[in-house]
Amino acid sequence: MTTPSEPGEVAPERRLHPVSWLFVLIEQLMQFALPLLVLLFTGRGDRGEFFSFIGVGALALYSVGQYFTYRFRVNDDGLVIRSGVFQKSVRHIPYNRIHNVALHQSLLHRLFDVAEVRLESAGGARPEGQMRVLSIRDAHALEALVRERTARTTGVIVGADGVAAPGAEPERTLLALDTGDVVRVGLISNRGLVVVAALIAATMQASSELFTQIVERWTRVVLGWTRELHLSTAGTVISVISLIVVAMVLLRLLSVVLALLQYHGFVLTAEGRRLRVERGLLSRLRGSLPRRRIQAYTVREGVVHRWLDRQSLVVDSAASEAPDGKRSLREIAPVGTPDQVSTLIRELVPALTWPLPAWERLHPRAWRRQFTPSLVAVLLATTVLVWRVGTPGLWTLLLVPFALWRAIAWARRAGYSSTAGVIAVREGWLSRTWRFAETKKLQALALTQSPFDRRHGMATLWLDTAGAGRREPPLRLRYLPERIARELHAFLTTAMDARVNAQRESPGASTNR
Amino acid sequence: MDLQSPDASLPPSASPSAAPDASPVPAAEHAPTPATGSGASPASIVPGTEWRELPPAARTVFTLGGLIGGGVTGTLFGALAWAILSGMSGAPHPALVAGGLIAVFAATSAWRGWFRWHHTRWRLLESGIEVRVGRFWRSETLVPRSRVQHLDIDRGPIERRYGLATLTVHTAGTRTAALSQPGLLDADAVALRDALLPEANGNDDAL
Repeated sequence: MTTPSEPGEVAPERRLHPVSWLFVLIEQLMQFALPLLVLLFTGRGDRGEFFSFIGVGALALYSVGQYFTYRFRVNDDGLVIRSGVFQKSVRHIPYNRIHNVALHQSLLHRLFDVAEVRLESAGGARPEGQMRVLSIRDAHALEALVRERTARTTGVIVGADGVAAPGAEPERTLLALDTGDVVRVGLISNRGLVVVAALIAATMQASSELFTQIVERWTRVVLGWTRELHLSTAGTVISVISLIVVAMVLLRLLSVVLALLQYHGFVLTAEGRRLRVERGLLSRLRGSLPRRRIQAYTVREGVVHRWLDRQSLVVDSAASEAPDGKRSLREIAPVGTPDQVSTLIRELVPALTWPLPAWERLHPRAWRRQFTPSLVAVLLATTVLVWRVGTPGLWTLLLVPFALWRAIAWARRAGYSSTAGVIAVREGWLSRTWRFAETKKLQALALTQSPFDRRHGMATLWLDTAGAGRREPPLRLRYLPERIARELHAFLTTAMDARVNAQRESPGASTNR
Repeated sequence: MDLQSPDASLPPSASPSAAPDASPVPAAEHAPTPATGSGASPASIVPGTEWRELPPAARTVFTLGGLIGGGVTGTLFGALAWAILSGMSGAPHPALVAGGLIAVFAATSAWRGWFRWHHTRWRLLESGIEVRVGRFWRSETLVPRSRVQHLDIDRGPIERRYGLATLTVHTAGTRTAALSQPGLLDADAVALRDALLPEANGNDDAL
C-alpha cells in the first residue's frame, strides 16, 4: 500500500486492515447500544426481547461480512471501491472530486495503530468513500497519494501555480493551541449543553422522581442554611439562584473537559495549497481542506471572547455539513488572539488588509429599526406585568432607555465594506461578528424589502455562498439605504461575472472604498 | 463532465432549427433560436432589462392550486373542529363550522395565489436571470449566468393542461440553492433554460 502504482499499469486490489471487523462490529453495536442497554436494564425478560437481540446480532454479523467483500484499487485517475454481499456496488471516485481526506483515530484505533479514513467531496451528506480501517501508515500514504494525485490533476486545469512535486511543498504551522487556549475554548463555548440536556432527559425517563429529588434536596440544604439566617422568601430566591449558578459552573466545567477532549493539540498547518487541522486528545481527528474551497469567513467575538481577549475564526467550505459534525473542517481557529486571527486572514486572503481600515455606515435611521422591536417587546411585557402584578409592573419601563442606548450603539458599530474583491459586513454590539467573502465566491444575490424597510427607504442585500453553515449568521447587509443597496447589487453583479479562471481584475474592485 | 455536450440534454420539443446547432455555444452569444415550433408566436428570449409578467394562464393555475391546497388544509382543520365540537353541547353546528373553515382556508389560499401571480416579475439579463416577487415583502433574486449549476423544468398535471412549466435554477449556494419559478409559459421556460445553460467551453469552477 505504501507504494503507489505506476501510471499505466493495472493497480492491484487491496483490502482493509485485518482488524477492521472489530471496528465494524463495534460501530454496529454502538448504533444499537443505547436501545440494547435500555432493554437490558428495564426489560422484563420475556421472549420478545430475546428475538430483538437475535435480530441485532444478525445485523451486526451481516455488516461484519460486508467487510470481507470490501476491495479498493488506487488507479491513476481515481479510486475504485468495490463492496457488497448481495448488492454489489462499484464506486469510482476521481481524485479531483476528493476535497478532503479525513483521518479519525479513537483510543481503540490508536491501540491497534489503525485509522478510519473518510474521503469527502463537495456536496453530499455522506463521505464519498469510508474505509474502516486502514493501518496508520497506509492511511498516511493514501492521504499523501490523494494529495499528490489531486495536485497533479487539478494542476493541469488551474495551471496557475504549476505542479509541485510531492513532498516538496513546505509545511508551515499557522496556529497551534496550547492547553490554556483549549481551556479558553471550553469556557467560551457551551459545549456540554446537548450532553446535559440528553442526560436530564434520560434520568427523567428512567425515574421521574430522581430529578425532583435532587432539586428538593438541594433546596432543603440551602433553605436550612438560610433559615438559620432568618431569611424567608429571599431564601427561596437565593436557593433557586444558587442552584442555577452551580448548574452553570458545572456546565462550564463540563464544557472545558469536552473542549480538552476535542481540541487538545490543535494544530493548523499549511501544506502547499491545503490547510490541515489535527486535534483531539483521546480520539485524534485529522482533516484537510484545499484553500480555494473556502467560500466565506466568520470572525466571532462574543462577550466571553472579549473578557479573554480572543476571537474565533470559522470558515465555510464547499463540502456540506455532516450530521455528526465530526468531519467538517470549519473551525480553523477556535480561539486566537486578535493578532493571530488577523495574521491568518491575511494569509488566507492576501488581497485583504485585516482589520479593515474603513467601514461604511448603514442607513442613518438603522437604530430605529433595532429599537422598535425592543420597544414593542418592553411595552408588551409591561402591559402583561401591570395586568398581573399591578403598578410595580411599570418598573419595566426602565428598560426603554437601555434599549434605546443599545440600538444607537449597535447602529453606530454596524457597517459593511466592499474592497479588494471582498465584501464584508460587521454586526453586533456586545457579541460581535464579522462575516466576509470574496466576490468571486458569491453564488447569488437577493435584494429584499420589508414594509418597514420601505417606510424608511432601506433595503437588505443578501449574498449567497456555498456551504454556509446554519450556525453562522447569514451574509447579508441589512438596513442599507436603497440607492446604495442597488448600486452595490449592480457592482457585485459585474464583479461576479468576471471569470474565476481569468486573470483580469474585476472592474471597480479597487476603486470602491 | 456533462458540460461538454449540453445538446444532449435538449428536450425533444426543441425546434428542428435549433438541433443542428450542435456547437456548444450558449443561446445568448448568437441570435436566440425560437425555443419551440408549436405554431403560435415563438417565444424568443432576448436578454433585456424590462420585467416580464407571468402569463394569464398562470393566474388560473395559481388560484386553482391555492384553492385546492387551502381546501385540503381547511378539510383537515374542519375535521378537527368537527371532532371537537360534536362533543360539546351548545356549540354551533359542527358542519357549519367545518364548512366555514374550508371556505375560509380555500378562499385565502386562492387569493394568495392570485396575489403572488399578480406581483411576480422576471427578466433575463445579460448577466443572468432575475425574479421579483411580492408587494409588501418584496424580494428580487438574481442568479448570474456564471453561477448556474443545472436547470430543471417540471410540468405538473395542472400546468401541463394550461401549457405552463416550472423552471428551477440550481446554484451552489445555500439559501438560493434552487430558485424555482412556476407559472412560466412552456416556451419561455425552455428558452430560458437554453439561454442559461452553463457554457461548455469555460471550466468556470465558481466554487
